[in-house]
Amino acid sequence: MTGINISNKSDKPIYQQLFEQISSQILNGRLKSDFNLPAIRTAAKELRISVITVKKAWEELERMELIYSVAGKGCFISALSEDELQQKRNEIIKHQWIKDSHFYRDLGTTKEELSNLVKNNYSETGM
Amino acid sequence: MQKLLYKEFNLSIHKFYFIIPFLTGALFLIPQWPFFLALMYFFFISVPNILSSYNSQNDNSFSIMMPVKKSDIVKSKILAFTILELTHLATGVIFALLNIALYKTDNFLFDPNPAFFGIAFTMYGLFNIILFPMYFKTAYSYGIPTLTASITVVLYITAVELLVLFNGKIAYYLEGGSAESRIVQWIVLIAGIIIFAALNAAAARMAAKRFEKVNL
Amino acid sequence: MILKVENLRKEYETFLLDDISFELEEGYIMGFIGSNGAGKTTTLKGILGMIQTEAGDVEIFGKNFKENEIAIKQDIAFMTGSSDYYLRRKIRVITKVVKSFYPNWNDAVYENYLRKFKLDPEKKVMELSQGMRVKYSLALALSHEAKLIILDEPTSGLDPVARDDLLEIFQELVEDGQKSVLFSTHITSDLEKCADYITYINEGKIIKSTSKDELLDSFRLVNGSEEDLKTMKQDLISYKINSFGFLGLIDTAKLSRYPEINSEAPSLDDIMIYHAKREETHAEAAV
Repeated sequence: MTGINISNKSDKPIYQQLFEQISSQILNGRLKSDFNLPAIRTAAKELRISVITVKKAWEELERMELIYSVAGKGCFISALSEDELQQKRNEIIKHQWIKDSHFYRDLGTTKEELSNLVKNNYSETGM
Repeated sequence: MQKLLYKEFNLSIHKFYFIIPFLTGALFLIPQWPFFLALMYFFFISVPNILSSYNSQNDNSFSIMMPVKKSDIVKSKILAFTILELTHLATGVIFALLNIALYKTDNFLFDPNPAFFGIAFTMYGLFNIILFPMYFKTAYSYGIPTLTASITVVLYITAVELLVLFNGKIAYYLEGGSAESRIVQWIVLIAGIIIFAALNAAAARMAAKRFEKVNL
Repeated sequence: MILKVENLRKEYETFLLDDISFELEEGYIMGFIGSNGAGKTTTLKGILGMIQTEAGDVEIFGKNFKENEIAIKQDIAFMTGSSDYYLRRKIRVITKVVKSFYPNWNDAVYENYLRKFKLDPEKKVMELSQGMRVKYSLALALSHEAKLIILDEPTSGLDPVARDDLLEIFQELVEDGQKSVLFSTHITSDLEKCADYITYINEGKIIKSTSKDELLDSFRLVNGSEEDLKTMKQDLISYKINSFGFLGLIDTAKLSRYPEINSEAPSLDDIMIYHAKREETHAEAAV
């Protein structure tokens, strides 16, 4: 894992921050399949968040079939083919986009303006 | 219960109060002295100080967190006080025997004989039955309870001393040297012990009942 | 359920604690919040039979507390914030006495925690910092294998580092899923970090007892113009007027009545502040 950073200051619920950070690490391939995620209670202690929050994030990951659980052993990253990974990535991007688009629509942004904005301001390296 | 008593002697009551009986006991060596006073220093020194140290150490709040019954907290404290009182009596007896061996004269006030100690037992019993039910009504305020109990025993002992001084018949039985008098003196001692035990048991029952209602 | 409190009631001349009910499962941390004087300490003392309550039932480990008080107390620990017992006594002496009360006392565990918490047994309680006193109490609790640990304001008077340290210990305690921690506090940031459940008390009444997320979800912070305020005033828990309009707290369930209004998630502080404000306005209205 490349680390998880939970913020109490963020507007996002903590379980969602956790879900997003782990799912992105799965989808960009940094978390390999069959990697054993820490136990819920251990993760809660280490990340200094509540047990229920971790449970909720893990449940969400399981619902998305990004992880699977083995009774008594904990949760593991699902073995997904390139296609499946791509499909899940698109699902998540679409989900997030629907949320974000409300914001732009409220501001009266046109499709064209948006695509220009993306072209001029989006960098794949995050700079 | 033994655990609570162990706690009383190791944490709650300072060792100093177990040394005091030996110091005040030595007062029995003063010739022609009001010997009851030696036994009463307990009321004036030990009792208020121990009760106040319960407060400053948060003793009752500590006890209630242990796995014990509320009534056992009361009993352990009364038992601890009873043990201190018995220590006063025991050291009193030792120094009284020394006094008799040394001076071989009659005392102006009550002689330190079996009847004296019988009355001393009733004095402690009387003190306890007034102090504890009053104290455990709050398990905090100790001023009025200590004062009330102390004043009562002072009046009681003054009355006893006056009777022995001015009533020849009572003096004959309680201080006389005849065989008949000696029997009466031993009976007074035994009766005193029984009364002491009975009053302590009653004090524990009444105090425990009141302590149940205390909000700690 | 490791702890179940039902309809606890305690009357004082100037304060009424009424209908206190909540429960806590094994393996979780519950924060008990409320402003000063809301009834937190009274509730905890009521649970533990330190004060006589007028009504209510307490079950711990599935057993009635009053009927099994001594057996239950073997497996619980209670600690008050100041923990100023026998200030002039050495830790070693206090431990010796405490140990005698618990048949399942474990010396190895105790020694272990002394080392871990860096507690010197030859020190007197008064020589310990507030944080160290709390740790000492925890060492005692854990050495007799307490399953339910109840603490009254353990973090008050601690600096941020000591507080964080303590909260981490709480999380370690519940990690095995067997023990539960119930602690009262008025410092909400304590709870944002580690609490699974929150019981919120105000003016002697429980406002909510639920998981932290659910508590935060059950209220919304709304803002709008003074016109908006007129239409929704009666549904707000309370509100503050400013030069831009108003800010208020509303039950999430009632928010759907006002689809146009702006709303955002409140913090625990917001929830406490707006509830306290409501009490104030009610008190003023009564005058």
